[in-house]
Amino acid sequence: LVGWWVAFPKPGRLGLLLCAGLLAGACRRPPPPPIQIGLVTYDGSGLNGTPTSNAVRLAAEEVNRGGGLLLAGRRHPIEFQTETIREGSPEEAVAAVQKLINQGKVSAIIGPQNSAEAVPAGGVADRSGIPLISPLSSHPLTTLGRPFVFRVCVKDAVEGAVLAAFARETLKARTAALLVEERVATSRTVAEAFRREFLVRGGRIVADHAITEVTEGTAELEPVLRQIKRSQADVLLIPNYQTTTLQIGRAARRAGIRSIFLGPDSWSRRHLLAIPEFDGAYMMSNWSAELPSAENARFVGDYARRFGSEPTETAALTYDAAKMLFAAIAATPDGAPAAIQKALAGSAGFLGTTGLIRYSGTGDPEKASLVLQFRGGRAIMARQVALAEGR
Amino acid sequence: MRTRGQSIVTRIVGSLFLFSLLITGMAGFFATRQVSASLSQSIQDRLTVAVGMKEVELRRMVEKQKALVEIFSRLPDVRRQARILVSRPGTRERAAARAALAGLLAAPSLQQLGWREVLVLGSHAGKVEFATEAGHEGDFRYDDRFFLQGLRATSVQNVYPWPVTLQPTLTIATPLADDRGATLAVLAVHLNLDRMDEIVSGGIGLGKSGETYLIDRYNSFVSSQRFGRHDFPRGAHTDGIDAAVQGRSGSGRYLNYRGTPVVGVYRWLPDLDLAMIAEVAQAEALAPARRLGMAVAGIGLAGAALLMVGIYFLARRIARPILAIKDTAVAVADGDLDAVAPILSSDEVGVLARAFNEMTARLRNAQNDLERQVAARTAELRGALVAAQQASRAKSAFVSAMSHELRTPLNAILGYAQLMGMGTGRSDPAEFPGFASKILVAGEHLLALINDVLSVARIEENRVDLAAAPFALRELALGVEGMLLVRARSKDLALVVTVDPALPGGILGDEGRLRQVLLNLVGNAVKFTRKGRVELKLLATAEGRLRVEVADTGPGIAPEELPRLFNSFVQAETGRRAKEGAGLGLYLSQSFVRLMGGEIRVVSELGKGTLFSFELPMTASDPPVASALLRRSYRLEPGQALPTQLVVDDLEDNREVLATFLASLGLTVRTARDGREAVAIWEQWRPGVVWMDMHMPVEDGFSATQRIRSRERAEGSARTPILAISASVFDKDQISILEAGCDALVTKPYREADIVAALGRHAGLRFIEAAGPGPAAAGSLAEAGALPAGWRRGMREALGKGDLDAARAKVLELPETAAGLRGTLLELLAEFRLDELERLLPMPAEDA
Repeated sequence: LVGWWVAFPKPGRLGLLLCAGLLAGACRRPPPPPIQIGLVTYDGSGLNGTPTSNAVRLAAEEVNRGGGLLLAGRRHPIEFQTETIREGSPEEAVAAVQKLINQGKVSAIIGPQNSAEAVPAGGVADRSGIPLISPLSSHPLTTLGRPFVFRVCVKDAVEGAVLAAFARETLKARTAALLVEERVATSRTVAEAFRREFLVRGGRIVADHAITEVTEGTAELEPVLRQIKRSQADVLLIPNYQTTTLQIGRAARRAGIRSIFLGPDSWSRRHLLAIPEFDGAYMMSNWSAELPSAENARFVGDYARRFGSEPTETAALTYDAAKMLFAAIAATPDGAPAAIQKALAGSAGFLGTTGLIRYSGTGDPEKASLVLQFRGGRAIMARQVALAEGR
Repeated sequence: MRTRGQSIVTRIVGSLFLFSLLITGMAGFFATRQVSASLSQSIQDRLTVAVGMKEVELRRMVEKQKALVEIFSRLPDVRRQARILVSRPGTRERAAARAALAGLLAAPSLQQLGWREVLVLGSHAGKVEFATEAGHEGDFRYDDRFFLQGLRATSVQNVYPWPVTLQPTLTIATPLADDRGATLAVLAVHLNLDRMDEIVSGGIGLGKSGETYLIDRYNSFVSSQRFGRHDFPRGAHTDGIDAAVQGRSGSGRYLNYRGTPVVGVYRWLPDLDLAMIAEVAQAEALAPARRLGMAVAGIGLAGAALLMVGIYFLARRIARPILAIKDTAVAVADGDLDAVAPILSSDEVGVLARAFNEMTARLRNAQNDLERQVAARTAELRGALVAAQQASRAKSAFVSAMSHELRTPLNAILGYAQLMGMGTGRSDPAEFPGFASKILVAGEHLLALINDVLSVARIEENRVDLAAAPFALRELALGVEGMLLVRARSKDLALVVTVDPALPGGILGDEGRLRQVLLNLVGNAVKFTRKGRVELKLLATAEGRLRVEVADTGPGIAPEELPRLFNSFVQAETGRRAKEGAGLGLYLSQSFVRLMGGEIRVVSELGKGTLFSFELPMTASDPPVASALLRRSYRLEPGQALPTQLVVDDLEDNREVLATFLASLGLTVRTARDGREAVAIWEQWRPGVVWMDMHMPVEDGFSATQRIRSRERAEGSARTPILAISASVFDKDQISILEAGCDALVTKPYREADIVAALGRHAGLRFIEAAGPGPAAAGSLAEAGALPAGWRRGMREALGKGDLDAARAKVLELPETAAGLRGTLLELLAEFRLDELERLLPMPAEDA
């Protein structure tokens, strides 16, 4: 090479150096493009918007602090494209996901949380082959037949089954009453699973009612509550969202119903545990700050430090969803959506704040769950149900 | 060479062909581009119009559907069945109501409306009480916008992905009221967007590839039938679609969703939340432009080919004359100067050919000239060679002639001298009357001959100087006449001398040389003319020049001899035959005349005679005082000391001649045979003058002179004048003679005058120059007294009458033997010295 250089005519050498410099400049690799991930979160009017956004931010900050995800030897930062919708607006959710996929060109999506939005949104993502993780959506249809859609929480059927088993085995309840909010899908599916499991375990359903809409003092609720009271059921399953649940619970106690209240994860513990009518009630949950794991302790501490507030179950599940997604992306050669899907589905298990998460053939995780009891304004872990995968 | 010519043509044709191809290509390209642009523009305009019309059509269709849904919702039967459905009926009643509704919807007129799904939702919780899609019944759609809007009034929810089907959906919802006007339920109709899309796509009249389609705000195709959803997992993205989805309308050329280049118009329809895209494949839309381009290119190609053929022939036509010139040039280069380039045209190439031919012609002429000059030079050289050979021959001839010429007078001299020597030891002229004069004549002839030869030498060495002294032409002419008259008479020729009275009495010039010329010419005439006359004329020309003519009636000179007549050592045939003369006369004459500024010309006719003539410039002068024609006689002035004379010469004759002359002057003379004897006599006798011959046996004159001089120096005695006598005429000899100590040189042959002059100059002797006959003439005059009395009588008679011609004729009657006397008499006659003549010719005794 030296000989070649010396042999090169002198006037040409400067030009040669210049060319080499230009070439080197041109070849210097631009900063690696960020990995685009979509987030469908809610505005501040609902309960889940802030925890969702915070959890995702926390997770992304953790990863980006280290330079991003290591992909084929280079670190790519994580960039979230956020679509904010109203809670209870499936149309907006569908539009948001459609937009993220078609126009935002995201590689994966986190959210939406609620089944009402997650079910149609998951459909869009799956149809487009973009992995979508709904941390909180428990509706069976969310993941049903959708290889690209995952959830972090257990599904409705599991919740129903866990509650039924808890009622029969731990509380030794022999009879149960159900008050379903007919228009809410989760309500229906949790009730369905509970009904089946309770019967299987030798219990008796003494009252099974559905209401279309709960407004205090509606004529529809009073006769139902009277019948439930007459049934003398040991437990009353109220598988509804907190607003309806609160109304029903208060009305039930007013109506003289003594049954132990049972509820699924769709209850908002923060809103219910301080309500005297709900003191002693049990609810199914995917997470508790008391969960004894290093991951959980670190998360709870980090979250509190970062946002100045206690994390919620939504935050924990969303945090797990984000960290699990990052891990899956890092396991791919190129961060392509299909590869991410494969990595998620084929993962040996992700240890998150909510426990070990693992998928086996579906988007529904095999993981432990909890039953909490509201007692004295606190949610106490009443029981941990290991790997309560619904049948 | 031919290939070179071909290459000119090929190059011209090739270049022009490429050039025309380039132009054609450019024309085609720009035509295509221009037409493409305008075509594209017109297609965009048409598409824009089409899209506008479709939009109107769509909007009208939606309005129509809205009205239809409203009409349907007001049908009493529909309302009745809806009321049944929302009133929580029993299973059988519900089924009946559903069947009734389905029955209504199954009417053919409704089937054609393009309703994809019809729903009846309870106003209370949005529960789907009736749906044409069975799976959708029982669902609660209280969150759907169409439900919430439909509770209040008939409304249209523009295209959106319905969360249930996830398909783009356009829903028209209208409240179903009971008889009291309270809203019982909502009737929702999802329109069949595939139908809508089909309607939109139809009939834009833009060819097979033209299509119009609808896209929702999220880049999804509205029609799921025409475009499989899975082909576009992230929606359809083209420049047009993306722009339209972002709310922009416009048009342009881009790749469509299939990757086909299209001309497209895109438009965002805000009131329908739809993008409408109309596109035509560029391949089809711009086909005319492409065809035009191809046509232009094709025509251009054909034109270029035609042009090429034309240019080929033109180039060949242009090149042919050039090639012809080239061929000619090659021929000329090979030496064929007669090659002529054909002039095939009158253009520049023709001019070139003509110029080339002129050039060749000049070359040819130059060569011819050169050849002529060489021939001329060769001829000249040959002539020169011949001339040289002739000159060589002439010199050989001259030598032989010269030998003869010299021998003749020498014979005479020797002969007379012997005759005289046979007498007593002393020579007494009186004893041999006429002998001395004969020897004198022969000697003078010899002298003249030798002088001629010397003159030739001088002329050829360019050493001739002409004297410029006054002399009388008339005397000259008479002198010549006198000298030749006897000879002419002897041959019975008339010698006529004419002197033009217009001539001046005297002129400046070289009299001697001119006389020599006249003597030669006239002498020749006399010599070669057998009968008739010889004329000498001296004439004055109008230009004031002297013209001399010598005419004879002789045999004439052959024309072929005329050119050589004046060459040295050349004699004419007559001259050779006469075996007389050395062939120098005419040469010298001509040379002298030329020196004098003239040229002798000859006109001759064989058998009739010859005329020599020449003209000379002349300068008039006073005639000379004295005539030099008479022989001078010298006498010593009385009362002088007379120096003794010693004559030294090995030859007795020479000794005698000089000694006799000196003695005749009254001087005492002794002689010596050689240098030794001379010195011995000088020692003893001390002569006043020594005459020293330089070339002698025993001791030559140089040595003797040196000895005398050295003795003089030794004695301190007076210097004895030693006068050298030598035949040498060369300067270097003269110098060495003077260096030897001689005081002067008298060249042989000398005349009395030379001796007298030398004596005067070196011995201080003074002489009286007598015009009368000198001692030499004394003999002649003595003869005159002895002339016959009758002759003398006739002569006196003539003189007495003053008839000079008669007197001259009388003199010429004298015999040849009395030549000396004759010459003297003629001289006297010429000088009109009649008294002298009378004294010389006394009256015969009997007359006295």
